[in-house]
Amino acid sequence: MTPSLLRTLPVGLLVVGLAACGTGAGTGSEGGDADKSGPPVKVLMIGYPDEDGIDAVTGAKTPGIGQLQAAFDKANPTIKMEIVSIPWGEGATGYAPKTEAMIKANEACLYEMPAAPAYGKRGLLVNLDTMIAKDPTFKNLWGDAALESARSWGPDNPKNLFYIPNNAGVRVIHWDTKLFKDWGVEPLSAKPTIQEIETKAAQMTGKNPVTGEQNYGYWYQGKYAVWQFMAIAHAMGAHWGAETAEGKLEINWDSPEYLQAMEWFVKMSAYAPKGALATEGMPQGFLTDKNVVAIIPEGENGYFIPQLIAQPQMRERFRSSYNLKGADGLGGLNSVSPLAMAASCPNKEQAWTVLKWMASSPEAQAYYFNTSGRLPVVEGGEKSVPQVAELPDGAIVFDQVRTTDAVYPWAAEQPRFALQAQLEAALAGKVTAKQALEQAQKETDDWLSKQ
Amino acid sequence: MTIPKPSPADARPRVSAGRRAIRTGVFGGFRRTTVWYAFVLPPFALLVLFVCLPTAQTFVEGFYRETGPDQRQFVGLDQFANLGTTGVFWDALINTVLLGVAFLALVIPLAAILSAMLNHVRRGATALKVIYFLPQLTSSVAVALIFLYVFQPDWGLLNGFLHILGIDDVPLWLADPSFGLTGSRAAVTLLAVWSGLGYFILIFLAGIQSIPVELYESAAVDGATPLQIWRHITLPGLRPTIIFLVMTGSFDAMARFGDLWTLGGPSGSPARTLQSIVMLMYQVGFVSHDTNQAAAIAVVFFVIMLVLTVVAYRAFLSREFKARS
Repeated sequence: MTPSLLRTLPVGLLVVGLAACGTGAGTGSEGGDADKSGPPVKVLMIGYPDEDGIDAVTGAKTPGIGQLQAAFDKANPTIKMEIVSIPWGEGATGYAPKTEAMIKANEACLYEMPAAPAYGKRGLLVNLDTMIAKDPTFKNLWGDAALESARSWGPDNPKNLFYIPNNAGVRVIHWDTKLFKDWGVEPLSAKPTIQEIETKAAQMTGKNPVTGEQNYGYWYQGKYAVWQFMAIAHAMGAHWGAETAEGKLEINWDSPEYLQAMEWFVKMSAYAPKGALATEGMPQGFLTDKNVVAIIPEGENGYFIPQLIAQPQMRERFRSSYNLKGADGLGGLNSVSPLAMAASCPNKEQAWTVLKWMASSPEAQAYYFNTSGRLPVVEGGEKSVPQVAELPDGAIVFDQVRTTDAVYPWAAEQPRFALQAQLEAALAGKVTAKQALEQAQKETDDWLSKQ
Repeated sequence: MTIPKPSPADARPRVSAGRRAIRTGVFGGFRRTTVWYAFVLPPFALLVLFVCLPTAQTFVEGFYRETGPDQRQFVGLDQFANLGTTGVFWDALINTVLLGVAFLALVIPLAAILSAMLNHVRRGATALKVIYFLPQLTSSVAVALIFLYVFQPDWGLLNGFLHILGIDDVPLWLADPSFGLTGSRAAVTLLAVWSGLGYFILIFLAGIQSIPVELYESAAVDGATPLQIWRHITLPGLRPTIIFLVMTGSFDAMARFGDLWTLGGPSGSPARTLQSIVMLMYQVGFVSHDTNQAAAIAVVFFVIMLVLTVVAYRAFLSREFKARS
């Protein structure tokens, strides 16, 4: 190796290294048409496949993110849009630090953004009301309730619209018709009450009179039990509190209604498998002939819709009812996917057009469903996913999306983790429901005092 | 051979030539080594860019509170004071220390015994080393996902095995927040031992093989029993290895994250028993979006690690260095 080469090699390596560090993550599309002027509208999307593929469980085809890009390009030939696709990931390589890094570096205009209200609170998002006000063609396809539920506090306005949902998850109560029949128990009603669930779960816990297997009447996802608890508590008349005009949260866990809800939940956990506290997701054997749990609350779309479409023979066995409803007719976690616009976006008008298309077009709604089982949120969105309408309880599934509880502004904050930790302690029998709520309130108050 | 006597006129040029020679030597040497500095530069630049600058920035962030986009307010030590009064922080810190101590207390004696046994294996030693080391090469998230099924109380591998042995009252493992030997902390400690054992064995094996054979031969001649040999030759000979493993093992245990996050989720389920200090830092920073508070946790963690290093150096390493010199 010559001396000159030795001298230039490290410099070359440095340049190559830094260039590699500067390469964007994800699978940005290959630019756009040459005649589209201006910078592209970059959109961060989370959890969609990079390439066309086949679902390993159901065998269904899953379209890659390029198909969404192609559909957009076809429908909007004058706008250059570029999708940056990242996986949900885990921990340090999860979507959260990537989203944080991208929005701080002004990397994208639009973000599929869980916890969008938290970013809006920090002044990082556009209040979409300002875009709606400037758009004479705007039609509210999502419904007033959905947009009202999306409003949250920001530095300049207590009721900002920081996002519009582009799709939604759903949480229904599943029940196994075979186990109900084996035990001679009446089918679960479409809108079950607390009392009905308790009575029937108790009846179906024990040795199955037909198969002799150990059956369980009830189920809960331990690691995310807080959302089930919130549905139970809402049905019992509890309300967490409010967000003040100044953006301060007022939260009260230590109330008689929450106490009643937690005591009920602890009582019901006796009808669930002992290890439920350590689980996330559905019980072993769900949607198969090996299922041993009769009533399975908090069934999420990703766990049952693609599977039931792929296995028609299971549709009559595993049925779905509404989540628990309160006196207001609402209930169940609001799990919409928020699509938000960064305050730093340089081409907001074009981005607004992109946002509307991504959040309402039939092509986009069908794409979300085909890749991850996410459901449409626009009126008439059922037509984009006829496979769901064909399910025995398709109408319940769609209606449950529209009748969830309002969004919890503390969903990603310390009060959630305080409540979850204490709920787990109560479910494990380490503390009483009263002690758990008192401790959760103490931790929450501590956090609230430092807001 | 006669040496010509230098004339006064020759003297000055000779001195200058000497200085020139020194200068040429220094700069020539520098020129000759420039290329090696150039080789060092890229990794050094990356170190500065991706380690030093973010670390410095983290220290700065700990003294601020975000008040809006690109706006922040200097709050002095408020973020640190908040930590001191937060039970969740102390719980996470205690958890981290407990899990670390339990891991080291199990893995070091176990690795020492297994490595001593492995040292005497004549056939298949390499295969055994590979088998022991394989978990170390597996992603911590993948390992955690597998152990999620191993420890599942109702349909998991371990309890299934216990059922086969006729044990009906099986442990709840990850569903049990108690401090007991069958609780969630015990489960993740077993996972860590399974995963890290191979590395500890290999390091111990290297330590054992570096002990002079003559010592063993003399002991054998003197009629020492295997236990006496182990106690008076092997263990003292392994002192530097043990110190190294305790130190590096402590740092790794303190920074544990991937497997705990996968098993316990953002709240360190069940009942925060699996929440380590790094997990809390991540949850506060990237789930609850309070990057300044997360930075304060990172600074406290940094200081703890620094203190640990200094104490370990003063207590053990400096003595080792002196003994070797």
